[in-house]
Amino acid sequence: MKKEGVFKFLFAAAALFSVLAVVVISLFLFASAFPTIKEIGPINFLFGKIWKPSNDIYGIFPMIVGSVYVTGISILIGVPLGLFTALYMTYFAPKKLYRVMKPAVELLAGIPSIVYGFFGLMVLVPLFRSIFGSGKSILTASVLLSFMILPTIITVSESSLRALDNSLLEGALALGDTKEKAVFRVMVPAASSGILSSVILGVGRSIGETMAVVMVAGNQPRIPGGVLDGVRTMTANIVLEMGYATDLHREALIATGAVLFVFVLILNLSFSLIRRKK
Amino acid sequence: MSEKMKTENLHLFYGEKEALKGIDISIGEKQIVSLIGPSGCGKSTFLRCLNRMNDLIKDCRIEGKIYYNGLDIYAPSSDTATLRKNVGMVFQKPNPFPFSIFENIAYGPKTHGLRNKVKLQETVEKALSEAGLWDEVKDRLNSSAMGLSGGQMQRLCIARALAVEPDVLLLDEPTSALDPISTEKIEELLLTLKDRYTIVIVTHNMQQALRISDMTAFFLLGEMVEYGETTKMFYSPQDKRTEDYITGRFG
Amino acid sequence: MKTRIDEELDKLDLGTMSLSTLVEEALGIITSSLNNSYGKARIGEIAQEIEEKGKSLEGSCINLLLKFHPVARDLKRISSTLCTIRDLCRIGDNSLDFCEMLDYLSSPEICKEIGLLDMALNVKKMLSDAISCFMSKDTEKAKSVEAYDDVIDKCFSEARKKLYSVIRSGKDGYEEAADVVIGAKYLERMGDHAASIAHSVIEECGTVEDSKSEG
Repeated sequence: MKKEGVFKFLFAAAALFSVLAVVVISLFLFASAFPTIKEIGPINFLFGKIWKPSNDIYGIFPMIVGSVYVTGISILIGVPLGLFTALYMTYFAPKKLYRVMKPAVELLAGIPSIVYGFFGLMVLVPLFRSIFGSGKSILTASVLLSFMILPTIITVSESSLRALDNSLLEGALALGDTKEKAVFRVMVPAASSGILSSVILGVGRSIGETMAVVMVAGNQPRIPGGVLDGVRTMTANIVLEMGYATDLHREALIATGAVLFVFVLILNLSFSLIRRKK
Repeated sequence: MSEKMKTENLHLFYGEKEALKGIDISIGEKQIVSLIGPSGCGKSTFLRCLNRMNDLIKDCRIEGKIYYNGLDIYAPSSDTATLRKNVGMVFQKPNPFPFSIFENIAYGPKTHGLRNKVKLQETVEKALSEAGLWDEVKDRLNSSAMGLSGGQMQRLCIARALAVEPDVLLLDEPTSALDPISTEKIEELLLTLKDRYTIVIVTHNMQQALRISDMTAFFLLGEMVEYGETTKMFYSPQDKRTEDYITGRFG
Repeated sequence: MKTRIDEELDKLDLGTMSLSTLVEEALGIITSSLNNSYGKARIGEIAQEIEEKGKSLEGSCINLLLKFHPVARDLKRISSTLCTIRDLCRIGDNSLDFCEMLDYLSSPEICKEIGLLDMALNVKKMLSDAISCFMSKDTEKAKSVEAYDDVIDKCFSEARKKLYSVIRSGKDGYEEAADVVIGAKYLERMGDHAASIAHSVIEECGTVEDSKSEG
């Protein structure tokens, strides 16, 4: 009986620790962010189109736009690609090919961001420069990020698909449908909850990615005109200037972190709502 | 009575292993044929041959001929989608799609090109009525099929198969996962469907075979040992193996 | 391998055996009564035992049908056993009725005169053969038992003819002729039931041709 109590306490303590961590981080962020944003002015901060710390101008709107574009396009590329790959691996890949693909995908997941960054810098940037004329741009960053979120989307989608009862597919085929169509009409909707989770994870990774993006996005703190323009994301903003920022400048960067945090919160909340609706 | 489906010297191999050893059977139209036999004897495998569901299994090879309405179902001119429209299948565990009841029934017709909303509505209603489920679900066609009871789900699966207007229905132990009352409802349903459809049912329950089927085939170790009128077979079987199985003297 | 149903069927056979022993005893009383020996008192007791045993065995058959849902040879066996039990019980009833008829007569010698003793002995033999066919499932013997019913029927016709002459001649006991003929009818019925037992053996074990040709 006593041993049970000890373990119960340990479990509770561990859970409490996680909750405490989130609370502490949130507190730190918002405790710094609120006075800062108040000082700069919320509209000036969130919607100000100019970021010039030397002149004490702290508008992060260009960075918000940058993050949204880069994340959005990476999702547009990565999700269909990832989903189709997962479908292929689950339903169409011959055993031998699957045995190569699965570890390859898992390996992709393990590559450090900075290595992705190097790859982007050494391969993608010159390539895009020769094709499109612009090397470091939203496009380059999005493509690179889509590579990075692919393994997450593939593995989570694949396991959701594999968890489905095969009798569903059999049922569709017995009605005269082809395997290709049936997979889209029945299995994907049936696994939608899992696939959606994979997308959330993908978005989370993408919006929070720093090192790889910094190396290929251009980092100009201005609102982009098109996909071939360079941008600075919120994450890049923090990492580029944190080293030497002081006073209000530093506070502004922390506030940027808070804004990022809020984005992630809204994201998770909206996906939760969608899942609950299902 | 005309012949609806026939097999001639049907052999089936899973790689090297021979699962069906020369099956010759003629299934007449508008009757219920039950397939009985111990586990692993090949009856489900045989059933799946009739709508080419075994094509989906790797390493599965067929020799011999299978005919539907006199035509070879493996002829190059034969189309699997049409075959499966005409020869429907209901599985042991009810497998409704995770959609609404309406969408479940409409799936088959939509697959075969029916788009007209009014016609779809009519088809869904007709199929659900035939399956004896219309009254129970007519007010909640848009609710999820996953909210139905086990017996209702299985009748939904039958309705789903009926919606594409087949003329043969294959059922693989359709009531083995159901309670006695649901089982009775489905047996009643099959007896009414017999007037319009040819039904082949795999069953472990010999009482069920006796209650509903006109003809019975006894499978053992991949062979069809005996095939005849149900009451005759259960009262005076021709083969001793059949008698030993049906009287429970096996093993 | 003996299954549960095999054990139950064996028990049923034992029960049927003991029922048939009681019925044979009843017929023994009839033959000895016709010979003016004693023992008639037992008939009431035996008839009672036959009825009770019969009911209990019928119940066992129904139970087996309920529990095991038998098919093929098991179903045939229980079906023929049920028929046999019922036939044996009817023979028991008829024996009681016959003895009551004997009791009622003022001059029972007339029965022996018109040949009822021989008829009763024939019936006793026929029953004994029928029971042994039932136990051994000998279809050939069963066919001959079935055919033997003709002998019993002949005895009955003879007895009836002799009774007419008794009535016409106005001999002693002619007033009770109606009762005597009823008694003879009981014996004839017993023969029919014995034939029925033999027939059920043919139904159970014979081929399709066997059961088509009526005995």
